[in-house]
Amino acid sequence: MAVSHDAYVFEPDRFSSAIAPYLRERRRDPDAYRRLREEGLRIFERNAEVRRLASEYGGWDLDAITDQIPAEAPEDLEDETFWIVLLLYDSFRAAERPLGLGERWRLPGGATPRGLDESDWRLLVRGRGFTELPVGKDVDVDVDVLRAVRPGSTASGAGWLDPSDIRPLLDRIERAIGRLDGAGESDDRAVLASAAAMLEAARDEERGLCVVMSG
Amino acid sequence: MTPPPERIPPTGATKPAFRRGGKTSRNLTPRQGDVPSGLSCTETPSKGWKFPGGIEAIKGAGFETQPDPTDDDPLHFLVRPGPSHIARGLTLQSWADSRDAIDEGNPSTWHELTRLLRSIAE
Repeated sequence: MAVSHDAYVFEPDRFSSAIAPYLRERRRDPDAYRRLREEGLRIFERNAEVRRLASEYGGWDLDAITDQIPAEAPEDLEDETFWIVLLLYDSFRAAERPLGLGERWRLPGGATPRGLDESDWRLLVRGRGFTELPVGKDVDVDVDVLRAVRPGSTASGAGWLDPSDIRPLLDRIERAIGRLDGAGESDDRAVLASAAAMLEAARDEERGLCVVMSG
Repeated sequence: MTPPPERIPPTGATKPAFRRGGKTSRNLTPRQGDVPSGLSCTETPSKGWKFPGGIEAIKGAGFETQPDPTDDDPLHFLVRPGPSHIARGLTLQSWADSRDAIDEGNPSTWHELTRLLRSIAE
């Protein structure tokens, strides 16, 4: 199960604002893609953490980016989302330690950890779709590109949790941990502890989370 | 005018495999988190590295593969060094350990298994 689940403390409003101009202009301004690319390259050069994440999820370096991603016009949604994902990485807050469920997101038999609702589990693993960002409610925005946002790597996916999701979800996870009696529940306990750690990191900074899955 | 007959690929035609992402040596090298599972690949057409000979070519290069379908990608599979590689000390761990030291412009920094995968990829 090499598809891992990572989480990053995330500022959804910052990301939403960063991509809003492109999402409004992409259909009507032929230069919008070029400007998005310039912004993506600027961020890539400025932010070492963005470079690290691009390397982690897909082995990207500057040469591969400039060789493989079109400079003038996108061939498909994937080209557009490549740059949007660099803006996404730029909105992550530096973490003291890696967060996320790792490979435990796939419990044996596709089970949900004991004591946790399936909807909560799905929110932890997948997060919300990016169409639920504030910019997704803008009537001038074509949300197709938001549905396609994921890292440029094998078996990848991404989603997000709003700051308002964090405390209620953490409360429910702590209750689920309290209900475990121990015997035969070590997988559940470990995955719930990882979930609690990522939510606590977001709560402590009063931010949301972005979840990233990648092989 | 009668349209030309549709070309139907012969039965058993090779299905290519893919490793989505940058066409770099680093992307053909597992991360620490890929130990002990293996390097993720897929038969779902993707941009990035392509293995025209598919899973059979990967196996032919001494690797073992394991189907690992996910909800998002039912054609996802894992690649690990096979017994002949492991017997020579080319383990998944040693392969992953090489990732951080890769200099894309210097093939001598690429792990032997990375070079082997590159030789069957385009």
